[in-house]
Amino acid sequence: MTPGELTLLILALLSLQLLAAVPLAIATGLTAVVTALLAFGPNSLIVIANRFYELSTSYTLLAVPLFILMGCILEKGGVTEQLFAAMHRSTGRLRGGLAVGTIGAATVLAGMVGVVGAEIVTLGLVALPAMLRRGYHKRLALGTIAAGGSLGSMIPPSVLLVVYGLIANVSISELFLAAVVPGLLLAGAYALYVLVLCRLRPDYAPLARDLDPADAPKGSLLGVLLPVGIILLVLGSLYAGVATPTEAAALGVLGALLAAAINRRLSLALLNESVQQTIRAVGSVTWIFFGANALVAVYALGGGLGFVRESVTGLALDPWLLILLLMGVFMVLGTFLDWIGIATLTLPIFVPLIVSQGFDPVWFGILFCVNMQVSYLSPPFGPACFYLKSVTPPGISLGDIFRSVVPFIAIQMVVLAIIALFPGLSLWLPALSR
Amino acid sequence: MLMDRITRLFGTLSGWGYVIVFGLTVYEVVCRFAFNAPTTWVLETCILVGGLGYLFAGPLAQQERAHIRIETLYVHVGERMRRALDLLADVLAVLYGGALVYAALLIALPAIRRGEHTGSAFNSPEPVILKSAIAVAALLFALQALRNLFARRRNHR
Repeated sequence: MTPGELTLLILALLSLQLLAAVPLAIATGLTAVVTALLAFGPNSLIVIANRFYELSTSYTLLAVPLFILMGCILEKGGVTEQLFAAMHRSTGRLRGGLAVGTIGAATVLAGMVGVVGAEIVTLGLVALPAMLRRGYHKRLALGTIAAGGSLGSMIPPSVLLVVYGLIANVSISELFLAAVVPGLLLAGAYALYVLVLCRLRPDYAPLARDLDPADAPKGSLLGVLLPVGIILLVLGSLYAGVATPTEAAALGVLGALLAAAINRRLSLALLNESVQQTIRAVGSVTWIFFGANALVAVYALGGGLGFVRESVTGLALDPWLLILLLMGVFMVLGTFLDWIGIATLTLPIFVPLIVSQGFDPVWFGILFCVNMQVSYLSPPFGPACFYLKSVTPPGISLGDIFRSVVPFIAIQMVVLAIIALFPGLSLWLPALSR
Repeated sequence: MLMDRITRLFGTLSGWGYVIVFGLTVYEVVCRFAFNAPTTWVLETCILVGGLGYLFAGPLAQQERAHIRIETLYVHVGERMRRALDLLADVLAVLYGGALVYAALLIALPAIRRGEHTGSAFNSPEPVILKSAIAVAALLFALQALRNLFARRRNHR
């Protein structure tokens, strides 16, 4: 089978199953199985088993369940609630204040959690009911959470940047610093959009007649101090070189437990509920992760990697046209592949390509990051939307969520263009630290 | 039903595994940072426990029908078509689980025969355990899908 035929076979199998509402974890894995059987015979299934084994022994991947556990404990321990309430109070008089507050809380949470799944689940459990109760339009509420929650892939500590640094051989702390300004720019653009929308369509975000008593709990100082303390614990231990990302995540769990204890909510029941929620999230996410990776491995075995590389280098383009083309490839792949698949498949080819054209790999990493945020939201494989779906009330469909993120994808495109045209936005902070 | 209970037991245990991973990792950081005495066994134990967690979380999600699916078309079709699609999803899950058992045995059997160890200072039998666990989890995944398939048929009668 030629790589071209292999590509077509994979695309056909995958899209048919996805249209038939076969769960992603099964669709990706079964496509890997069928493709391997057809192209290479039964013994090649060993490639798939090896992917499962290698991924389940990845120490860095362990940061994911730990960050999810931390997020669950923070939420059940009342910390997220307090942070959210504090944000609400400071934005309470604004039309659309709840949504702007959610974006603010999402930005702080991104610094605290750094894993998109955990952040969206947390926001979906806390901010979504609050906004729906207040009568916010569901599109506004859902879009705000999915877009705000995706900031976790950008604002450090970000697992995505760590992986980029490893593949592209770039300093991870420089990447973290470079992401700060673009991340805040994105958050600011979301908030601006929400404010303008609420001015134009007041029915999307009714003002509270009275201050909802549920929105005004006591201990507002605590609500801000605890999250800041946890950020310092997680990021501080990383920057001080005391801990690996996984260890920083474990310290984060410790911080979350301490915070729950300070709130007098720490109990065995709380821990048990957090564990149940964590394993549920881990189950529905890691099996997709394993299946998609197995598929990428089978594709690579069939020469798919070289096929893509040759198709791209054969074109001999103007440098900026090349950047534009690579962004386009990220966008297209992002509609059906997970970011780890995209990163492992394309970055080993793309990064040397752009460095040879005189571009900065740190800057390109930030572009990649914003691109992946688009792919977090865009159908049919928008993971952010699936994470959110896993915690929404029954009345909300995946279609509702996908429709709600469209304006936010447009904003991401604009910010992407700004970051691409002004590399200084990303590069001045790392340059300052050198 | 017995099948559901087995799946749930494995799933819950693997969930608590992450609490163990958390505790051990904090212990390791304290040992290394405060007492300058890093351990040889924490890292490998965490990888083993965490790995078992990912694997057995899959069958649990299958039991709870929590695996994420794209419902764009699904919500627009009639009741009969939905039933057919649900059936298809379960049948494909059984096939996938079965294929995965076969694939896992391709790496698990040689590992068991050789008594494969990690070869580190701690030298745990983690490869034997985890590679076998992939086969067990895949079997559980297939059986749970089969159980779901029959439960669905019964409900529709």
